[in-house]
Amino acid sequence: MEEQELKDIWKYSSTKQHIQINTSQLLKDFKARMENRELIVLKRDRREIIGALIGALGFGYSFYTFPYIISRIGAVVGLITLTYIVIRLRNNRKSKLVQKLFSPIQEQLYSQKQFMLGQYKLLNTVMYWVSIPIFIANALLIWGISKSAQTLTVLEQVSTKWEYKLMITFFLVLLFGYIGLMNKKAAKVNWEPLIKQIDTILKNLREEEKK
Amino acid sequence: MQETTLEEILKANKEKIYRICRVYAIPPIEPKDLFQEVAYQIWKSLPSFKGKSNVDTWVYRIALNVCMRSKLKLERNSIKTDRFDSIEFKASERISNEDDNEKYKFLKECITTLNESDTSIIVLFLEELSYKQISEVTGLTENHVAVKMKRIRKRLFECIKPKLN
Repeated sequence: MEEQELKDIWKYSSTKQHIQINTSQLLKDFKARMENRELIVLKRDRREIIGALIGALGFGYSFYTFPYIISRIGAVVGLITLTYIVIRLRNNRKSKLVQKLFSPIQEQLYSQKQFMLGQYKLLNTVMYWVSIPIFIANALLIWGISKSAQTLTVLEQVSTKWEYKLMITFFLVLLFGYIGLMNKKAAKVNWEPLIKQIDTILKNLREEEKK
Repeated sequence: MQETTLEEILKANKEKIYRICRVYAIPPIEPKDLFQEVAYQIWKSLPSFKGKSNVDTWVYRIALNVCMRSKLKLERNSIKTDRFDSIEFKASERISNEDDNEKYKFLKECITTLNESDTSIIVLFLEELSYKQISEVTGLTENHVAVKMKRIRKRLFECIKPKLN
């Protein structure tokens, strides 16, 4: 059997279909697809910002109205953490936009791997840059509330009792611990197999390099 | 300007893109979904094409990168969602030869036994690219491609010969 025969068989595969392209309509379709994909990203960004804004309003309100120094420190920690979360998510997303699909395969796989490692690290460490700081902010906010000369709201009156503080803290530990662990699991399930797959392809590509 | 360039590129390369997409498409993704995604990525990458590399090399890179990404299940959902009416796949009027169909089926079966990196190299080889061109598409050195091809060719022939005989 000759190599040319194989090449002929290969070439035959495209003769069974006749591909017709309406270029002007195709450009409209491409633009619509691009807008659609951009809209998805925009909606996700909006959700993120709205979530952060709601959190920031809560911490801001607490800072403004709570006369307790420790609670105020908690509110500041919360505000700083939320700002950091938004910045970190946005920076990480920017790296996804750099998809040079016209690069050589090896280079593209390598940059793909770098992106995936970034995503993996981001999710795997949510416990440290989201859960723990937000937990600390909330815990300071709650434990800072104490009896004062000022008239207290019902919520504040309840919050001054240590058993309630303990209950809320326990609930917060569970909530933020769960968030951190779920993200860790997502990193393991979604990104780890892909990183291993890319590593294998890269390894196979480099195989025999030194022979 | 962009319309003309895209039209020219797709006109000159649609068959080769389709051949590659046929090997990489795994249900539920069909070759036409991959073809559409490759065409879309070509259009998106056009402003960055500075003519430093050959158009063929550039198209092969995009086609293979898109196809390999689809296998990694990275963007499967976005690839299979919207199908464009602007690209039509019609069965060719040429009478289909059962023998040729069978041979192609065997060839595809044998290619799928290869790993990802070997598949990309053999596909380029079957497209009649020189080792130099293959090295430009893959990013490997020419010597490295030659060494790899020796082994891949042997494996492919070992697989397909008994089937064809």
